[in-house]
Amino acid sequence: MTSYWIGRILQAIPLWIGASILVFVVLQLAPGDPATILADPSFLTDQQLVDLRESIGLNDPLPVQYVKMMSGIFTGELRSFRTQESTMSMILDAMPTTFSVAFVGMVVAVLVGLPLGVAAGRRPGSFIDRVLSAGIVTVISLPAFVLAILLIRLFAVELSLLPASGIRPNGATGYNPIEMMPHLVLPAVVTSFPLIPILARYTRDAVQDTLAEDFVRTAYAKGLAERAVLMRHVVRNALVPVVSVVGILTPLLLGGTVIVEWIFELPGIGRITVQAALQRDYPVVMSTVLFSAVLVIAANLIVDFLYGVVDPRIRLR
Amino acid sequence: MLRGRLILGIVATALFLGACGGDDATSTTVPAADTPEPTSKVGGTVVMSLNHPQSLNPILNPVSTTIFTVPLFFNGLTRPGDDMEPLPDLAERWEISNNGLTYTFFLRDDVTWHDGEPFTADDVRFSWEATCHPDNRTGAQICGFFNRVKGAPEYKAGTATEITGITILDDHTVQVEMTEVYAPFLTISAGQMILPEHVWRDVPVSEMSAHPASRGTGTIGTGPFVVQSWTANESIVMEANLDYYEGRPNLDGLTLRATGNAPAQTAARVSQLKVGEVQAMGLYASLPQDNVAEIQSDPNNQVRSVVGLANQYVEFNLRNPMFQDVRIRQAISYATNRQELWDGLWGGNVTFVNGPIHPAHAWAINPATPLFDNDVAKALELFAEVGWTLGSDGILQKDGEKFSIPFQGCCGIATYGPVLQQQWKRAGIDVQLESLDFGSFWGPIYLARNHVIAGLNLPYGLYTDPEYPMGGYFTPGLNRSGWDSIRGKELIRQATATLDRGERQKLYFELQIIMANDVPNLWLGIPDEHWAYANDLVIPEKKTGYLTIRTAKDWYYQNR
Repeated sequence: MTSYWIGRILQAIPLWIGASILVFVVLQLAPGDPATILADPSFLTDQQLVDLRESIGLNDPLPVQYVKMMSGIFTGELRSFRTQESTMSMILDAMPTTFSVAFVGMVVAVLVGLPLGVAAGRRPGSFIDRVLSAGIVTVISLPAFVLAILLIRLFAVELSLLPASGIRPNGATGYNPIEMMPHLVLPAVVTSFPLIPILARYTRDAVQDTLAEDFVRTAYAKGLAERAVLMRHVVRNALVPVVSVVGILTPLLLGGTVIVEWIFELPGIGRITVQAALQRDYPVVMSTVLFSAVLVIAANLIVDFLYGVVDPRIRLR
Repeated sequence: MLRGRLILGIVATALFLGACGGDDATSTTVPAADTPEPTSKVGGTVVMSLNHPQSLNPILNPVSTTIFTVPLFFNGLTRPGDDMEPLPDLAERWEISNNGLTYTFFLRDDVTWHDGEPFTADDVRFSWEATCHPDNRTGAQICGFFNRVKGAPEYKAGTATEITGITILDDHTVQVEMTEVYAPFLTISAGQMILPEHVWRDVPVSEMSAHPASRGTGTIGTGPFVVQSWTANESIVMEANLDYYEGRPNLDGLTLRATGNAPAQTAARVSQLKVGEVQAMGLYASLPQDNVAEIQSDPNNQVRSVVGLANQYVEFNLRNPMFQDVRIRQAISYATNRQELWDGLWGGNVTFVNGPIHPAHAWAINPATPLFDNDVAKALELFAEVGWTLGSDGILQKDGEKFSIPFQGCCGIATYGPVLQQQWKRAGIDVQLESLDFGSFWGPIYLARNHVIAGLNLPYGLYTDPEYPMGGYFTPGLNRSGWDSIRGKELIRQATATLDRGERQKLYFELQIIMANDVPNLWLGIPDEHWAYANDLVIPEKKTGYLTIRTAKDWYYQNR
């Protein structure tokens, strides 16, 4: 079993390196000159531009630049073109914010999406099922930034129930959950919003399929109550495909936090990434994207592990 | 609104010039006496939405976000007055030799750094040398302001160990020898922020950017506020400097809340203001024109409009044969209806100057500068003179070629570009609008001179002397439009080489006429910057947002 997991981790390494090459190539293909962000470009002379490019290593051959960046990532010495901060420390500083939003967002999505899916799957064609289908169309049609602005307008401006932005109150430092909680509500709702219908839909289909299985019919034949059949037999079996969806949703979750951090002005990794991409701060983009790649790979490994938890047959195989 | 403000400024400046005369003999400036603020104004904290800088170290990144922020906790030897004239700051007075080549600055002896160390002449020398240090690549632009200081170019090139033109006469007196007269020395060069030598002397210049003191931890200045912390993408937290040499700021604290200018962020920022999470917004994070009415009707907030910093303009690439005939440029100017832009796009909240000089330097603006504007018939006439005539499709044609050009830009072109596209179409010009992001436009297109027509907006209102935008046209390596004028170069040279403001005014006036007739650019206008802030917050009225934030020390709450 241990060798299986070591093999899975080793398989992830070339995947991650491939991602790093892809990101590096995309950054090189994107038009733009990082030197223009380091000084006022309107009064940047041609010679100063050349000097700036030299100072941040942009005149090196591309393979050299790539190797320097990658070794910098491993040693923690890679620095932002723009601020000269270590990209590692930038990520570590921003990580608690992103993780908080992503975690709470995922919890909300699971808490809402799963029961909805079970309810809809239990009675296909019922009112809840039809509402769910209509809801999916609505949610897919509603961009996250629109929802965010609507929620800010309603809950912060009109009702004064929640803060409009930030991860903690003005002047507060650190990550005190009690201080952060009101600030996390709206970002978490927006983050969970696109996840809920996907989770619900997958759960609905899985529940519906499981309900048609022989062992469910047997359970009913034994005289078990519907609630017991659902909880003991249907939901647990239906969770297997749903768990894999949670893994697939990780990139969507991370992508969602980018928008959420941007609008709610949260100092997270997504915001750093967008800023860095706009400013052609290649080291920061490389670092944050590869960090996200690690998270996605790790999420999929965790999902593989969870298969075994929810379905012992998979573990035995 | 538009015209009155400009004319008033010019008249006031003319009176000022008349009073001052043009004396290049030894001069001494004495600061005005400071009036202590009543204690009732003291207290409270303002959270202001503002785009964060790249660094809190003023000698490293000469970008506008840094220039907005650092005067809150640093000072220069001089600072800009209401008309951008140099006022005493860390230097309480100065003397200039008769030939204009030697400046003697008499520094205040009552200034201490935020850590209690005294401010001395060594700090001045250290700051200017660190600015020009060969390893300070990003600060090379700032060093340009010291190019005429004796020994600075050699120090910058690494062939000298010090700037020989800077002499410390005693702890509070610095003498600067110049190799030639440089008119903006007091306004630009001496206004650069001074760093504490005792904090930075052991830090290699190449390591300054990553040093914690550049990032809000141990950031020591002399300014009215003391930096407590900087959380990237969140906030720069400052507290009042109770020992500030001019007396403590009215506010107990000032926090700069990071924001951006994407539409969604703007909407969120307006909400933050309405719910009281922020109490002020301005500069690049000012209130959008579309939200002005909303905040004006808000019971808790107010709006004040000041002249914006950014002149919106179109630049022709004169290396392109299509634009080398001045009549083509004049024709496109005639095809432009600026009033339509001002009224339709900017709601009449705009100031217009036909040239790069910002209204903050009203003394240097020639009100008699000609303008070719809004006359399509005249435009077609000029095009015809050059051989371009309207084809059956309504597009100008010449020898089978259509007058079809890309119009590229970022940061503003998305708003005025479509309007110009329509206006120019009426004169037979087919424009392909390309609204790009900053990175895609500035490096590969504009700095590489690959543009045909570019839409630009430069914050000329930030620069404390008109030499900065005017001189750029003739500085090697800066002339992106390719415009050239022998007389223009000479006028710039002369205007930089005299300390007589009246003389400089005459030279700039003539230069503006030349530029206006040659039309290397189409100046469109400077949209107002709408500051929005809490009703009970008092922010003294200043001409620009830059001057407004520089006086944050004087902001106060009433009835709190």
